[in-house]
Amino acid sequence: MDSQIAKIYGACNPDNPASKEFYYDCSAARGKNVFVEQIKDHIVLANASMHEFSDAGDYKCFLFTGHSGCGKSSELKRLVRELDSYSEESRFYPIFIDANEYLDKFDVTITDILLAIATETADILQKDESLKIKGGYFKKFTEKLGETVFADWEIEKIGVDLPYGFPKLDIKRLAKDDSARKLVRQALKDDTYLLLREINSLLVNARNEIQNLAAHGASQNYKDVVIILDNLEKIERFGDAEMGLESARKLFLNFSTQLTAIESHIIYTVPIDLMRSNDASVIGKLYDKSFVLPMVKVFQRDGETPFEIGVEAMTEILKLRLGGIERKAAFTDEALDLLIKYSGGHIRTFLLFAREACTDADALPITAENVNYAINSEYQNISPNFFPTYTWEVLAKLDLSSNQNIDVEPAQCVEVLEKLLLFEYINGDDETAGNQKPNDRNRQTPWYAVNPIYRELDQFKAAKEKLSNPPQENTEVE
Amino acid sequence: MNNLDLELQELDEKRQMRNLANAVKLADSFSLLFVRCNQRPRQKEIIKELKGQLAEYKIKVIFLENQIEHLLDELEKELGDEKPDSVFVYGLENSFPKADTAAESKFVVTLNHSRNSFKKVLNCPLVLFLPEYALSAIYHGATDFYSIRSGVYLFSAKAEETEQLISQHTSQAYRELEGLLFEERQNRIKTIEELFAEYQSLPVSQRNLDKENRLREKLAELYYISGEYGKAQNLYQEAIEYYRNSKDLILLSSALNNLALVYKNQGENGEAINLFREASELVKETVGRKHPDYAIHLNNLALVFVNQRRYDEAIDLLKEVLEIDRETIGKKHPTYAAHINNLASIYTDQGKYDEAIDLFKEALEINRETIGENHPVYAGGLSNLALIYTNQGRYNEAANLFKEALKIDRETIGRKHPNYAIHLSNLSKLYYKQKKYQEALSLVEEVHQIRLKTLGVNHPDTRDIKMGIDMCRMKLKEKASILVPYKN
Repeated sequence: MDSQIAKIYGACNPDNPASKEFYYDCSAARGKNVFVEQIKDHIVLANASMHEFSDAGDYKCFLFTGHSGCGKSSELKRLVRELDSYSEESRFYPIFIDANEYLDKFDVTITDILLAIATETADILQKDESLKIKGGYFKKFTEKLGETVFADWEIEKIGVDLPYGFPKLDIKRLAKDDSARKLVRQALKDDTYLLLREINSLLVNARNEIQNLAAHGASQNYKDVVIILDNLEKIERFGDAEMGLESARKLFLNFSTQLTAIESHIIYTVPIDLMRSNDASVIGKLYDKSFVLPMVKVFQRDGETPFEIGVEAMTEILKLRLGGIERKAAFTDEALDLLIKYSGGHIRTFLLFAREACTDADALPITAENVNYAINSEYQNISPNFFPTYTWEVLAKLDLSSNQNIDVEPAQCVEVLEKLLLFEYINGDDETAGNQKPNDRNRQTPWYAVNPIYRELDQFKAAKEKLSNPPQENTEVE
Repeated sequence: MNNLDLELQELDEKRQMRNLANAVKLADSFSLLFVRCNQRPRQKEIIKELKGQLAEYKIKVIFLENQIEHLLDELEKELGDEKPDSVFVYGLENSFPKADTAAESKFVVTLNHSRNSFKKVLNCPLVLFLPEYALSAIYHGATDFYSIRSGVYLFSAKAEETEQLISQHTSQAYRELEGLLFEERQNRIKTIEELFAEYQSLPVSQRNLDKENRLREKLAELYYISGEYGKAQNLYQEAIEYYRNSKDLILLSSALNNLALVYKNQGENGEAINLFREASELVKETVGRKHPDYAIHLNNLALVFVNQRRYDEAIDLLKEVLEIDRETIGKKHPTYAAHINNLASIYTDQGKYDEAIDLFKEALEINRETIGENHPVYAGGLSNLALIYTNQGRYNEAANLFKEALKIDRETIGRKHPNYAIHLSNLSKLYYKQKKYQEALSLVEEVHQIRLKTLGVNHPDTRDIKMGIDMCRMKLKEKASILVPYKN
């Protein structure tokens, strides 16, 4: 086996968000949606006005969404790097929380979320040796839990091993332990407000420290804290709500007060179907701003004409993964074209196809034949049984409609979006896209295309055929 | 950009296999691979083939036989300190056996939580072998887990293949199954059990209930042949239920007949008679009495009468049976031979030895020409003839025939079969008559062990043979006490 193929195979692992060396800024191909810069600008601006006009904090609460695997976590990781890096104006202290580590996505309450935020925030702050935060934050809670839930657990002792915070490993363990989780909720059921207050109090203390680091020899102060809660969109069941969209509604609508009560800039990830559902406008009023990360646009709305900037972005992503190997030596032009076209600009799929093509190749370069086989392998594995029967009609209607205003249940539309059968794109200032009026509204209006590999499915083709040739009505002849 | 289009192509299984092996070779850390294959026996073949292609790699194969909740915990337990180059897991669907609730099962849900922890436990490719419905459950219930895959490899996912396997396994006739070597039949049972379980786990839309029921009956038949009457009884009852609903009367009559046989062999004569009567009535109403099936049911009914020593009724029935046979299947047929044997057995019981011997010899001749000598049915004929010789005091001829029969039994039905026990017991009676008590004792003890397992401790035949043991022991003691004075 060619060792270089193994290298490519390893580098194209779609499992992890792109690290710094693999990150490529695709914003030009995502409709000029410079998410990271925009968020940073918003935060900088909020902080500037905060100090001039008032004492009270004007903290921003943002929502961030996009298709699963389209690069959300990679963008958030980049945001963390950007916030934390030196710049002329300011830098921010990032607290990145992976909700997956704390939550059982099929059973989540607001207490669980706040507990995750409190635990990770306290943990990061006290592991930072440049900060000297004192005060027994969360002591009341840990004592309470220590008596009941954690009584016979071997826990990290707060106050002995750690000055404050929660025993992180034990709180994480709750994600896997239903009964302990229930006990914790029971113990803390009247304490949501107290917990929030304590988090905020810790944040005030942290802010004082990070804003005066320079006095203790650091090269630059931080302006403020920014909390990022990633993977929160993965929640399937919140409280006793129905699974899926209903649960997301309940959390982000009914509990927006709690989510926005944390006195810090904060970013939550939300599911894309919620942001594209009828509730989007209400949500828009509850939170400061929401951002949708679209697919990398690799073709125009006709589904045929390639969009060169997007194609180039995908090529660059692959090049970064290839390390020292020349792109043309690794993938032929045709192979790359096929990869890009059938990924639809969805980065995880793109890397998955590249990876699978590696297993079909005996030697470099990987050919269109290899890629074709890899895509076929994925294609043959799509079982129409996986999806409800109305799926194909919804997709066909969307595909045939020129304005994508179609007459189906919105729930069905957002479902195909969530299941990655349908991709969202934004033109941005692509002059070639036929934006009639190059105003912002047009540029930022999303449009949808069927995931290219599902376009090949017989069920989809048949539904399209049926819709384009409606059966003629039989007139009765007497 | 050239704007190439995807060329849809059939998957080539050899290439799939090679690419799957490559995916294992190429990975330098954790990666997740799915193999979608609906047939468990096929999954095992793929695993074997893959292991062949990955000969230099240390592959840990884990079969999850029992229902579990945490795959990761289970893997940690199974692996211990082992550091294999790849881990293959099959049998996951045992942990979420019902297709319609699979996506919400605890197992699938916890897969999703632990998706980020797999790479902490496993530093090598994890290959999961699953039927389609299980993969669908993971796709819906553990979307994140599914999304970190590095490939899904499809091997003949079509339900038709299961059906093909089913027809392959259901096409064998009873006599062929009965003629299987003991080991072969155990394997066959296992294969059909797996196939049956797997077929039942398919989504309802893909299940062909007729075929499934045929598989059920075939499995019941194998249990019956192996003397596992309890299992056979349950499956036949399900099959009968199915045919009563589907109104397929001929198949219903045959299932009733088979269930009656199970009852008869357990000594429940009343139940058996009712079922045989219902079966024969059904045949008479649908296709008339000139039909081999009608003859079969009457014959079986006659055998129950023999058990009850209602010989005259039995003889009348058997004569009617033979007449129908001659008009339908003809004389050169193992079934005709079997019916002759049955009549001869009654004559034996009645002491009409000469008439019986002629009939037994006729039957043996037919069997030799049709099914051959190395067959348990032929062995049965030998044993029947030998019984008469025993009764006539022709011990040496009888012993040779019994031994020949037992040899055929061992090669065909194995040493745990009720029929083997019958032949052993016949030989033991001969030894007893010859006053060879030690030889007789070792045989009846063996018969007793078999009957304990097949008939249970309370069955009359088991109690009979227990009495045989006591009698042999008693005789041996008497003999010993006679011998003792001579020793001193």
